[in-house]
Amino acid sequence: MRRFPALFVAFLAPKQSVVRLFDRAISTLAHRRIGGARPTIRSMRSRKPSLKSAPSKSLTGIVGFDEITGGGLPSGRTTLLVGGPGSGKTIFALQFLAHGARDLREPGIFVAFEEAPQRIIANSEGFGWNLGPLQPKKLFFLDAQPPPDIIQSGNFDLSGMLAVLGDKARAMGARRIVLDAVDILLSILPDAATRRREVYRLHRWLLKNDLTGLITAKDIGDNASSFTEQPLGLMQFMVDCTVILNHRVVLGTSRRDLRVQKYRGSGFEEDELPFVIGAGGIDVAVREPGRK
Amino acid sequence: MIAGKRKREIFRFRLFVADDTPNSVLALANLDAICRRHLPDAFEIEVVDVFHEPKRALADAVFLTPTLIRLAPSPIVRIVGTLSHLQTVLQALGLEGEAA
Repeated sequence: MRRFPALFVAFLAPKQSVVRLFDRAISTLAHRRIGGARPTIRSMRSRKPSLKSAPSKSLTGIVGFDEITGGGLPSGRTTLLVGGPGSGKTIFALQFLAHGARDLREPGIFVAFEEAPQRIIANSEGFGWNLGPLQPKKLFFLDAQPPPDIIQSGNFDLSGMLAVLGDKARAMGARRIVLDAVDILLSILPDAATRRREVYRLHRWLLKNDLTGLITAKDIGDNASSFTEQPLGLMQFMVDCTVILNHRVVLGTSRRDLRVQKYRGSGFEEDELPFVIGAGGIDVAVREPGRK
Repeated sequence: MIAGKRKREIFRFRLFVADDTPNSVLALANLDAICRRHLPDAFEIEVVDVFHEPKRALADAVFLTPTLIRLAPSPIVRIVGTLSHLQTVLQALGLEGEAA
């Protein structure tokens, strides 16, 4: 039973050493919970990012991430990036946009719901992405922080924002869009029904405009009574890809992990992988074949 | 009461709507009713459709529709929604306690 996947992989990748592949298959098994899903052909294939998978993909420029997903985020689709405060969501999102705008001729829009764009830009200066010359034609920041003194009376929706974004996206030929801290946006909507409706509207709008979307949201946790869980839960069903970032301190050492939870129509590395926020941005450690 | 002595300043409103969606139509109807009742002959309403004039929505940072902006008298007041909660709206616009 345990030998079968290893042999199978050996078939798929005849060039590589069978011994290393065997090690790799065993380590894959070791990483899985007992009684959990058994390694599938898909998860095996995901170790070979060179395999072209069905959906076209948009490179993020994030070292390691493009490798484990076989080419980045799903093009023209929406990805949900979930993580706690300080887990690296905004950096991930900005790196994805910067890479597209600078290296791939894919202009992008960054919609900031929680932080002022100036602050986000200032915080990223250390990474050497040199965002200045890209703005505003290739990289546009939209400050969409809800005013703190907002007065509400009756129902409302996000049409205004979508109208503005649609106009901007057409004008600059945008291919990528980031909605950073969408939980903030949802929190100002008056009730659960409106939140669900607007999440749905947002998603439909992204698809219609053929934008490669990345939506970030704060960790929803497992708490069933969580205020924003419902709409975010709905979002998890709608998106084509979900990535989870984790930041914790283990024995006094900071440890960051990234996990691709879901990727429709594509194979991917399913394990949690450590990453660092280094000099050039996020850097995901990809396990070497044969190493644990 | 000094009402009547003081000449009423014109209230200038800008209402951002999203086409003829129910929320937007309702907001315009509510605003019109409030103005007729509380500000007879002392109001101006400009309606801006975000789909026809998205650049104006961006210029005024309007991302939620409908949004009402009171441009005058100062200070500028912004209210989002259908304007259905009359007390909230009147209070925000400083029209509370006005003679009907």
